[in-house]
Amino acid sequence: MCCCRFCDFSGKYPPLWRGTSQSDTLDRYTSRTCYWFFVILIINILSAALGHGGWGLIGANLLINVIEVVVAYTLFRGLKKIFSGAFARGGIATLASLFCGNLVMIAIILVSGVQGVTQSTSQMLVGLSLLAGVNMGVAIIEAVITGMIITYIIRMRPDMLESERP
Amino acid sequence: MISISTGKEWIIFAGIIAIVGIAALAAFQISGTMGIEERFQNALGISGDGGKEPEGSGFLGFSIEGQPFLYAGIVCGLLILCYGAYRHFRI
Repeated sequence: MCCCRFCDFSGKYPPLWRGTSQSDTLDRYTSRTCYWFFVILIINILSAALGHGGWGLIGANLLINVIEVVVAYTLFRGLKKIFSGAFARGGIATLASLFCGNLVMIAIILVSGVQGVTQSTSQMLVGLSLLAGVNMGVAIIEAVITGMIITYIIRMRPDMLESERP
Repeated sequence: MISISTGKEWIIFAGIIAIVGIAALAAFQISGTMGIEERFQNALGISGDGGKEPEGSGFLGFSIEGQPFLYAGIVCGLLILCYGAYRHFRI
């Protein structure tokens, strides 16, 4: 999933979205999001089969993951003027996207609610904030690994990253 | 052109990692040592031992919930699907 955040699925891959809007950029963005959606869906099905999250949470996890990849991709492209190097840019984009993912996770739980909860909303907010804080510790490792993967892809397959093409 | 991060970019990235790391460490110290399921249940105040796994279950510390053959079937299906897509689209 780290890789699919930054990969360019346009051109050589079959179009999942036929452009209907007047904006070519919007059509390409939508087509890319369709690919992200399917990649994340497959990962979540496999994850649920392993017992992580469960089948009933695929929808919520899908929403969180799609927002993560959209934020990561947008930042990876947008920060190019400030950070020319892909490693730091990819790492920062990954950290920011996982932070947003945690915020969405908290929002989903607070808005939709969970069965069997015995705490108030403010208590849940505090507890989930601590949970998100610990998650961000793991996100550091993911950010570094993602930066390394991006650097590797740029060296081996620069055509896969639209923004890094020579 | 391979874009390598400059020294300034490394410093900024390291600074962000340090800040996030300190925040994560503080959250870990406050919440205490516990597994992810237990941490989630504790955050929401959910009672029960749904997240606890029986001693000695699983293989090398990993355990699969539900039907193992279903998991194997899904993995095989995904592998075949990915291989077919790889060959068909010449990725």
